[in-house]
Amino acid sequence: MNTELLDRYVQEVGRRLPKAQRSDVQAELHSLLMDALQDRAEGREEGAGEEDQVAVLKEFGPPGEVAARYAPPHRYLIGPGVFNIYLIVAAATAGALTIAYLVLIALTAWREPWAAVGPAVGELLSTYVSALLAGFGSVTLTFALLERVVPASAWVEASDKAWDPGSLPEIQAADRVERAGLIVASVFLVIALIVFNLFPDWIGASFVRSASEGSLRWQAGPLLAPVFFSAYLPWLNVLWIAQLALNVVLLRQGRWQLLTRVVDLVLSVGGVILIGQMLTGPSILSLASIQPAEVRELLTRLLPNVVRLALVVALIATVGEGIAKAVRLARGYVFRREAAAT
Amino acid sequence: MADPTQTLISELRRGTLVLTVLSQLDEEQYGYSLAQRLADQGLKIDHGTLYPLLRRLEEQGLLDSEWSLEGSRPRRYYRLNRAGWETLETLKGEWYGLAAVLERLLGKE
Repeated sequence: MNTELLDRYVQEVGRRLPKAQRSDVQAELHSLLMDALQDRAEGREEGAGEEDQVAVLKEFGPPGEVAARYAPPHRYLIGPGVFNIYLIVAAATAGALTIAYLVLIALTAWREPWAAVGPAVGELLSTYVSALLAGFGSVTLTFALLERVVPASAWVEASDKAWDPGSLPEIQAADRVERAGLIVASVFLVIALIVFNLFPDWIGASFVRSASEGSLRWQAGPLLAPVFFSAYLPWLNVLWIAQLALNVVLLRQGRWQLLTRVVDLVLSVGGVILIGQMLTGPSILSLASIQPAEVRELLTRLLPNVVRLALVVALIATVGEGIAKAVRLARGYVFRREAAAT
Repeated sequence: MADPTQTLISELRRGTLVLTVLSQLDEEQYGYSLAQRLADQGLKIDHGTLYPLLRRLEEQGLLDSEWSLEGSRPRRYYRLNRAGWETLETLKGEWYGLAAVLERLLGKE
């Protein structure tokens, strides 16, 4: 009996199966197809023909569908157990990259001559796409590895089985003030005000090895340039004192109100402008007085980049915070209007 | 687009498939003979659904299988093992309970 079509079918199903189970499934499938074919041609002298093979194969279904039913159940890159976390991390990565590139584009537009802005922004956009793909790929690869290293049951147990309803976070009133965070922030603000205004030499003070004495000694040398104290510190003081006053008011009132939200947003915008000025203006570092010379050279090579990176990170964080505050403010405004309308 | 009623009927049948198959494997059967046996009882199951299901039930530890070289060609025979029997009894209990509830619910119409 010619069974060429059946053989081709078995081969096609097997091609789509993992190697470990391929030959066994193929052998069984072939046996089952032969049973069906024999049954179909039973009682006929001429035996089964090609049209019988076609009919039997149609009854079994397309090779892809049959192979999918034979395949192990979990054949996905990222399973349902981690998929929601994956989406959040992928979106956060894309969001962070987008904000970073928006800031870079804004800085380029600000600093470059008008004619050079177009090509520079074009170049940035092309690297943005690459960065986005690389970021997305890295996140996907990490989660795909996690999927294979961490057993699926671990995710289910962590999220469902061991779940205690009592562990649900309390409902947070949108306007409630987080006192602990405000207190910590206020303490740091006071420390910054005291150090930058009264003990500026402390900034950059460090232990250095004295070449002559061969021992460690404390060296207090200002790292910050005079321009920092003349151009930026007064504005920093204004922002810090205003923030401190706002924190005190919030701690006393215990809840956010429209006015405090507006003041908070204005302070964030002020912070963004000031950090932007620091990034684009003259260097805030003064390394000329650092001794010995090799330390000075090393710091001159490294520190400006470190400070620039820190300022970029601070800028991104402040912009993100500002956007979140603006959204909260707008939501609160819409909510109040709807509440007033009803 | 698939007829939604047909889709729902398929889902309803799919839910009973494991119980149906386990109930017939108290004596050993190979795939095609099982399909015939079910068809004779009035339940026609797609070959492409039934045979992979037998494999999955074996992987889940509910069936044992072995190749037999007797007869016209090699065939893989499946049969309930101890865990399969226990599962079958549990599923039967569930089925009777569910059927009783549905009888009451549908009887209200």
